[in-house]
Amino acid sequence: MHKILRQLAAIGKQTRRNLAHTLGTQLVVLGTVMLAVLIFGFFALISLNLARAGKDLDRHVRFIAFFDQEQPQAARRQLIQRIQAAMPESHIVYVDKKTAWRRLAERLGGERAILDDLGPDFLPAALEIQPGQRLVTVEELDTFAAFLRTLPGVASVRYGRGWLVRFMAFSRLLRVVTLLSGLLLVLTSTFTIAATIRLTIANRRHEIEVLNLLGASAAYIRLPLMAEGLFHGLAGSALGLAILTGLHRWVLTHFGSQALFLSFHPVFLAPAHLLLIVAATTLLCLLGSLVSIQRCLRAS
Amino acid sequence: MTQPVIEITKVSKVYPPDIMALDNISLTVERGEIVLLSGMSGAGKTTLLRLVCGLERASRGMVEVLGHDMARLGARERQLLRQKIGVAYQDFRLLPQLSVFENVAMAMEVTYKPPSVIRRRVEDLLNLLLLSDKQEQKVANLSRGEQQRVAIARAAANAPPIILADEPTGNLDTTLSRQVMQLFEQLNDAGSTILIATHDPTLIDNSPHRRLELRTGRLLDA
Repeated sequence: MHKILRQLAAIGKQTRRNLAHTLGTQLVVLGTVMLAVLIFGFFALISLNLARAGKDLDRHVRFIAFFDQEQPQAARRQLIQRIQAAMPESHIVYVDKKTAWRRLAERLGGERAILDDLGPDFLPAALEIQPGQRLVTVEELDTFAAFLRTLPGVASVRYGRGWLVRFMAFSRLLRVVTLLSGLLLVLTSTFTIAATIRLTIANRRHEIEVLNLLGASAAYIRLPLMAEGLFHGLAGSALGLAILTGLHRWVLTHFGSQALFLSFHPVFLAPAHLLLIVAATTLLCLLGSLVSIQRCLRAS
Repeated sequence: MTQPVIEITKVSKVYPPDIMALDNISLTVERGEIVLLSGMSGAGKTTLLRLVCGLERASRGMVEVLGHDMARLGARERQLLRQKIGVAYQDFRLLPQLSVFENVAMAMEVTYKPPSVIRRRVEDLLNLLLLSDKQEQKVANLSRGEQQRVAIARAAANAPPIILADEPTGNLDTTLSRQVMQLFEQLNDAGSTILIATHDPTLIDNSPHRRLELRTGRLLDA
């Protein structure tokens, strides 16, 4: 037990000495890891918020079924029941001709005078339907619209098909771009961190060689350098994520009142995501150290 | 009869393409001996020391150190054996960014000696080699003579069974050379077997110890 403690103390001392004597190099490695994590975190944050914005938008899809004439109360109830049966939990509102005219007049505001020559009956009555389930493909949208057209009294159905098709295509493209860019960024970050760690260890080849010549055990040589890798991973990722948190708060504080953020509140990475980034970075730094040390030990 | 500490049997070392550094050498060093190995530059002295401490492998023949056949040692056995051989390299192999004290202490730290024992031993050695006032200085700031003494102190730190010294007085004046030889005598009295490679004539001529000469890779009794 006493011997193990002495060994741990010696390895701890060697780690502290390494860190102190190579402060400049340590700062460069720490900065590289921090930047890689910051860039990756920033990208992950943007992707997360874009995906969330996309989800929110397809929740706002609304169908309007226009009638050729006003529907009596009993018919309205029957229509709503049929729609609820086909698409449960949908939000359905019947808009009669007068309500439609009033809404349009309110929307026109100061220019409502243009409606003066048109009677309050000129707009058709309609059912406004917000589907209770997410309709994520164009086929699903078209199927639901076709169903609405079969309802008695329905003259036409509108749901901004052209805009939705374009939006969905854009969403799909965004997902592919996000996935590919994320993959590239992970590869770039991995390569940058691994290369920096490898260069750091290569710079200390002489030291590893001397320790080897003095008969230091593999653990005595490896553990302090692995502790450094652990430190780089933990501290670098923690710093990178701390800066990202600061940036996120700064954006919310300074631009939170702007139009974009009134309809959409940007979220931050969940604690599980943050932990995953820290764990992955630490593992990467540890592996980078381990592989480089092995190479150096083999060479000496 | 005691087992020899170093036993070299019909050893040759050839460097590519066909440079014969050592040619069919046989040598036995008994426990407690001090042996001086002389010869011109390029005679093969350093190669012989490198074979003994396991930095090189013999092209032919057998090198046995403390009863171990150097060609058959595994990584762990080699590492443990290196702790028993103190080497003062010709190019010192010191860590310039560390202090004098840290460089010497490192040899003991790798064997997990207690810090109090390390401090006492390192201070004694530095005192003996007139380096006490430099112990906190970085090795990079020392003269070559001072660096050489640090390398010798590190080789002696663990009071190992074998000490190999490659040109240990090459950068020292007569007084310091005498001081270094006194240290080797003390270490020898304490039980270390010492093999010194040198071409310093004052060291060879004034020594009462066994002398061997290497000439173009061949061993001659001096």
